[in-house]
Amino acid sequence: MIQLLKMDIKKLHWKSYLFGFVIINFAISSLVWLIVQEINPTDLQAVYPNYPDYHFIYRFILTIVRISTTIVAAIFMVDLIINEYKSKTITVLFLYPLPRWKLLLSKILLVGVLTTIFFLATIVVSFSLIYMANLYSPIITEQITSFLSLRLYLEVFIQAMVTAIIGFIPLFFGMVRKSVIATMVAAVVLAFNVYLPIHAPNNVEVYGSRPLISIILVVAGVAVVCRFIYRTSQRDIV
Amino acid sequence: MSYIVKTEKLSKQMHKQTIISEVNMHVRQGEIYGLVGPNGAGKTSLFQLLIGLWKPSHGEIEIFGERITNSSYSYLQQIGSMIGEPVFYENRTGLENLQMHLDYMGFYDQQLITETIHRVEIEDQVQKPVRNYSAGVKQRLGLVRAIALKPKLLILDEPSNNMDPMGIKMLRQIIWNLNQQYGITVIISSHHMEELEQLADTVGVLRDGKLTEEVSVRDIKEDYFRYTELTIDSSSQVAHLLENELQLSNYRVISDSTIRIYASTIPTHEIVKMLVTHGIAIHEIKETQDTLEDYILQTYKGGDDI
Repeated sequence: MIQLLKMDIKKLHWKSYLFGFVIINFAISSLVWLIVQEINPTDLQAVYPNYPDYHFIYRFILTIVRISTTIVAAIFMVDLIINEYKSKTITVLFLYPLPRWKLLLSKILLVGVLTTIFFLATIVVSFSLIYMANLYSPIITEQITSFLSLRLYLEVFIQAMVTAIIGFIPLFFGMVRKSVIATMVAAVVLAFNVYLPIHAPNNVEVYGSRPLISIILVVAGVAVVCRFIYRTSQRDIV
Repeated sequence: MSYIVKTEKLSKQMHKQTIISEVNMHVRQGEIYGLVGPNGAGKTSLFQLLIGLWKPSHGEIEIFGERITNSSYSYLQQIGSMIGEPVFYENRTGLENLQMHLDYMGFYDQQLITETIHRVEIEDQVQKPVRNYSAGVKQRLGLVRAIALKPKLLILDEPSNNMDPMGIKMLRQIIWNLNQQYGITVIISSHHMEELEQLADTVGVLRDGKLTEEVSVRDIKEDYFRYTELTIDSSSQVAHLLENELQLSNYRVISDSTIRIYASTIPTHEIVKMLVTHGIAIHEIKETQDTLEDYILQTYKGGDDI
C-alpha cells in the first residue's frame, strides 16, 4: 500500500498545489483581517458580546477553511481519480497484478490525507498570519495563550477529519459521467450549503451546527467511498 | 492438450446487445494465435474480457490453468498486452511512463526497458513527453511496455496500426523472436492477413461476436491453400466428371469456365487424362496457392450463405 501511495504521490502537481496553498492562505487571512477592521465592534457586540476575540477569528477562518477544503478535496479527486478515467490511464492501472480495491483505496487514502493536511495547515497558517498582523496593529487585546488549549487542538483535528470525509461526497456525482465539472460543481454546492450556515460568526447556532447533520454527512461520505471501491472492483472499465 | 487460454461459452452483453456470444477459444502454450474478423466482430471486446477489464456475462475463462473470477488479478503478472490505442500519462516522458510500469509490476531492473527501447528503436524519443509523440511512436512505446518484462502471454490487438512498413517488419520480427526464443505465447489480432499468415500457428475467425472457426494454419495450408485451377468450357460438366469418375468433392466452381480442385490426392496429370478422355477441352491449367486472406473471405462468404 505504501508503494501505491508513493506512485500516486508522483502523479500529483505539487508546484500548482503549493502555489494554490500560498494564495488561499493569503486570501483567507487578508479577507478576515479586512472584515475585522471594517466591523464596528459595538455593532457586533449585540450578537457576539466578546467581540473582538481570537475565538471569533477562529470560527471565521474555520468556515472559510471548511469551504475551501471541500473544493480542494474535489481538485485532488479530479487529479487522482476522475482524470485517470477521462484519460483512460485507469485501464493501465487495472492491468497490473494488484487488486482493484487496493489501487483505489490508495487514491482515496491519499486524497483524505492531503485534504486533512490542507485543512490543518491552512488553519495554522491563516491564523498565524492574522496573529502576526494583530501584533503590528492590535485589534484583539486578549492573550493568545488564553485561547489556545488542548481542547481546541482536538476540535480542529476532528473538524479536519470530518471535513475530509464529507469532501468525498462530490465523488458520487463526478463518477456518474466521469466528469470534472460535475465533481467541482457538487463540491461548491456542498461547501456553500453545508458550511456557510454552520459557522456563521455569531453565537446563534443555525441548523448546520447540529452534530446530527455532520454525522449524517460523514456517513454519506463513507458510503460514497465504499460504493465507489465496490462498484469499480466489480464492473467493466469502459 | 495444455491450453494457456481456454474459454467456455464466453459471452458478454452490454446495453442489451450481445457483443461476444458463446466463444470457445483454445490457445496452446507456445503458439502464436491470430484472431481475425471484420471491424466490430468483437476482437477487442474478447481481449478486454481476457485481461479482466470487462467481466463476462456468462461462461468461463481459464488462463494459465486458473479459472478467472471477477476478483482475479495475480494472473495479470504474466500477461503483457496492448489493446486498442495505447494509453500513457501524456505529460510524462516515455521513459517515466515505462519506469512507472516497472514500479507497479514490482520490477527494478532498468536494463529490461533499456534493451527493449533499443530493440523497438525509440531511443531518441523516450526522453520527450508522450503528448509530443506521433501515433506510430506511441504504438511502439506501447509495445515496449507490453513486452519489456517477457510475459508468458502476450496479447496484441492490431499492433501494426499506425506503424510504417519498417515498423511492421520490425514488429513481426520481434513477435517471432519472443515466441521462438522465450516460448512466449502470443494472441494477436490484425487486419494484415499476410502478417498473420507468416506468424500464426492457429487462426480464430470471429464474426458477430461468435468464434466461427479455429483452425491450424498448417492444416489449412495443406488442405485448402494449394489448388489446381482449370479453365474449361463448362464447369458443371467437369464438376460432374470429377465427382463421378474420380470421386473428388473438394472442388469449387469459380465461374462457368473456371474450376478449382483443392488439395487433391490424385495427381494433376491423372485428372487431365480423365477429362481429355471424356472429350473436355482444357484451355489452361494453373497450380497455385490461396492466401489466408482468401480463406477467411471464403469463410465469411460461407457465413453469408447461411
